[in-house]
Amino acid sequence: MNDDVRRSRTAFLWVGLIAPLALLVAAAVAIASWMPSLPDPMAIHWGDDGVNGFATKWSYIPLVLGIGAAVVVLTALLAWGAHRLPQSSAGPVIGPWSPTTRFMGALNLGLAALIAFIALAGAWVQRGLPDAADAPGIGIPTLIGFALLVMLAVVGWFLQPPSPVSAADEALPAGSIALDAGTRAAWFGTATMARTGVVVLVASLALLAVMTVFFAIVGEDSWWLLATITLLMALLIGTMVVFRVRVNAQGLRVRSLLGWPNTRIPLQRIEKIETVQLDPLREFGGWGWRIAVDGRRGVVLRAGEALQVTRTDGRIFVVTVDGALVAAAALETLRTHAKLD
Amino acid sequence: MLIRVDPDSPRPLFEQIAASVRGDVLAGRLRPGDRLPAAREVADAVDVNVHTALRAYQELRDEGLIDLRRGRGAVISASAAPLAELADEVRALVARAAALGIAPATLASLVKETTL
Repeated sequence: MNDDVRRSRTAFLWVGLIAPLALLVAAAVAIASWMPSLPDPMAIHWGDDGVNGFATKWSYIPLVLGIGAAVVVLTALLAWGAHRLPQSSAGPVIGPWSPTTRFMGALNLGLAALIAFIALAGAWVQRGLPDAADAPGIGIPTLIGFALLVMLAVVGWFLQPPSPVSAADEALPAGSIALDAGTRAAWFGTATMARTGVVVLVASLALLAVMTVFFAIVGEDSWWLLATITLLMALLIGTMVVFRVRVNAQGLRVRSLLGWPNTRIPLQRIEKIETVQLDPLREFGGWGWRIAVDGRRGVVLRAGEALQVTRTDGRIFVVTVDGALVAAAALETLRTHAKLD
Repeated sequence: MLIRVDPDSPRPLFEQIAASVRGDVLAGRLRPGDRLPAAREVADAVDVNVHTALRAYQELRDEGLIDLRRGRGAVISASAAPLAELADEVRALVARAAALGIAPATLASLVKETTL
């Protein structure tokens, strides 16, 4: 680990974990000091027509701030440890620190500010009330909370140093395969999601499912909306675990095992074929069918070698597949032959 | 898996497909447990009849290189592993034969007729 990485990690620890937790603890202390003047039960949830959820006043702090702390710690753990987990069977683990982790740290600070502020505002309006049902709405404080989220996320971003630049991952131009004129060729490969990606996606899905059940039990009207989102997410994740890659005279085809998403790039539409080394979390912010910050898109399921195709219209498509070197060489040779015909 | 098929070659198409898979196993690009695309997929990709691709797979199964299981498709078998170990020696032998001016067909029949 070099100095740049160490500096980034220390900054993340302060910005993304210690400061957010401190905010939540400070809010908890403030609310605890108001306890004598707070009604019991307290309002914990507001709907369109005012308060519609109550809980005993001693559960207010663990309920509201406990959820915040759990989110902060989970995000920090993910950012902190993701790169250490195995991301592919072959190839080196790349990039210990990245813009993604920097962003997660900044977001953590913003989220903690939002949750702490809304918890404070929610308790503040109930001070001295005999009945929590009379509590005024907290629409304005909620808006302020979201403004705080954005502000502190921006501050958190700039409090951390720029991510250390790793050795530039150079794109290697495709080689060629021996192929006589008139000979047909086809290459087949499989892109499978790394275990880390599966674990992260399934864990976030489980979190959504738990939230759905929680909302349904609490009687939140919008629980069915969350249920729909959870179901859609499950379907989406299902389509992204295994992709079949095919190179032949028709060009490149990358298709999910379930048939969709299905990308086809004809030979005539290809400008450039290369192989690259890439890292899903660092460069694409996660696993699956992805669009990167730099505009590249494609199927990114594990770290390591990937086939990268630039289309004639300038768009770049990547797919992380074992044997990308041979795939690139075959595609390049077929393209050359197609041009000669 | 790289498949090469020359329709103008006197060599039967199914044999060319089988030879492509064999070559990948020999080079270590296909390992025991790797799944091969369905015969229909292969046939479609190099524009040959499905039966041609199926026959290639049957040939490979008879050689013990792949397992064909209903529902699971074609999988490189465990007994294919020793083939990759021979890769370097085979390459050396082919290079030596070429240096001595021995035609590949002659070398092949020499290997076939050599008994221990």
